[in-house]
Amino acid sequence: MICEKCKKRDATVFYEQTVNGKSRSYSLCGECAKEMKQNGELILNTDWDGGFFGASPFGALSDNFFSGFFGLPETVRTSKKLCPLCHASFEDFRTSGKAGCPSCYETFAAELEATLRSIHGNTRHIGKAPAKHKKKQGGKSQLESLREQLAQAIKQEDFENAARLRDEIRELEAGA
Amino acid sequence: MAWYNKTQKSNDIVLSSRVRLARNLEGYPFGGRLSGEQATEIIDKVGGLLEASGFEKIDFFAISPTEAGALYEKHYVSREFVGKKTPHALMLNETCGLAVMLCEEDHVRIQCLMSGLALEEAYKNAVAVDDRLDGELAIAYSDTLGYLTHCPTNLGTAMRASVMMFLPALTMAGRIPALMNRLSKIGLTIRGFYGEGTEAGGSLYQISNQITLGITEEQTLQKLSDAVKQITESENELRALITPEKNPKIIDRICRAEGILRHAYLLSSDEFLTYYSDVRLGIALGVLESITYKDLDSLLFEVMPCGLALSEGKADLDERERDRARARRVKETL
Repeated sequence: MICEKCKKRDATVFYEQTVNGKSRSYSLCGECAKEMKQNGELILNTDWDGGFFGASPFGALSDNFFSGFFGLPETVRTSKKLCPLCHASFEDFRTSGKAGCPSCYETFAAELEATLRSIHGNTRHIGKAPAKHKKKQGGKSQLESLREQLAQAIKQEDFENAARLRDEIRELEAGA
Repeated sequence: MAWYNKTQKSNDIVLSSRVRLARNLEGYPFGGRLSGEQATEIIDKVGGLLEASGFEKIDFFAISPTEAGALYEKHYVSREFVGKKTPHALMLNETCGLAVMLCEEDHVRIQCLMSGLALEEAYKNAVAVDDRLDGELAIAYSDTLGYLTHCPTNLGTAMRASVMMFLPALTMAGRIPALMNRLSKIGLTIRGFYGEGTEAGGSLYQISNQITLGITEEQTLQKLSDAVKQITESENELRALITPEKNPKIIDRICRAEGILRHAYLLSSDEFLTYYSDVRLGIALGVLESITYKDLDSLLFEVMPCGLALSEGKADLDERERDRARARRVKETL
């Protein structure tokens, strides 16, 4: 799909924005989305530098939440991230308890992490994989690949990620 | 021959094992978002591959509600599958105990049903089908979350392994709630095969894994199989305490149950399940020697409403006709 604004680049950001009760969907490329955000035309519930998929799970709620406290502003605007394949929002996922398509899991990865941990007590798969994914992992075990990622994270001083990886490795080792 | 016709003496406590793998194709939405055309596409793609591997295709739009209901009663398909409004099909290979549902909530649900405790064999058969599909189709998978499924409770291995157990002594001793509690702590669950919870009809229960993410298929099967062995021991210990001297009432109940099953003129399905349980315990305790597990267990799947209607050659039976047909069927078999 092509970006509806510049009509040149591929659309990578899919959002539904509601302004005073009127909803409109956007399919934009990263650059146009950034520009529209800076111009105030689009609210994105994300810290831009953190990337589109690092959205806060409370992002979509916070507009309504605070307006409830401080009185409604003249214009009430909320926006929703949508799955690029099936156009489901996280709200759809949460209401039905089910994903709209396989891509929903990538789109809403951050929002889902806590839910997955409460269902399974875990957030990482360690079982069978389709043949082509096994090849992609280069025949490495998951533990080996995690240890490499940890070494890389420490080297880059990405300590938050390193701590998460360390916990995952411990969990895997305890389960093995 | 269907799995439930293979019952042997060793199926004393474990009647059957089942392994189910959920798989989805990349690029297609799940469940309610899947259009009729997309469902047909998936059925053609996957169904075509399986037909070439000796599976029989059953298009659910081409069969009667009674025929569909009978497939549900045999546990080849789920209740939700029977009522679906978009195209859906079953791929069946009864010799290997394989039943593959196409376009249920997941695009593909591979199930293998085996008689007795045979989890590894059931898994092997299901994986053979999975590998066949994997070779030809792009399966939705993520390195982090494993096989991607409609419901997040199935992510990871997307495998549900279950064992059907006959636990009359544990039921009589009121031990099922404690067992339920113990199993939930290790990621397993027990529920009544007919009806929910502790009031399970026929003392039949299904024990299955609840967790699919962060655990391998082998670990899951091992955990389930260990639990089944422990439950079998507890059931056997309790059964050993039942003697004609100490428990004349239980022995009397068994003998009466045999009499009713053999001679009733009308038999409801609830009554059948109650007497089935007593008679099955009678065989296990050596009180009843003229009835085999094989005959008794085959009835379990043949005296349900749709199965009965089909064997009577009718589209539907009213309650009275059903109870009459059930009593006749039971009498003929025993």
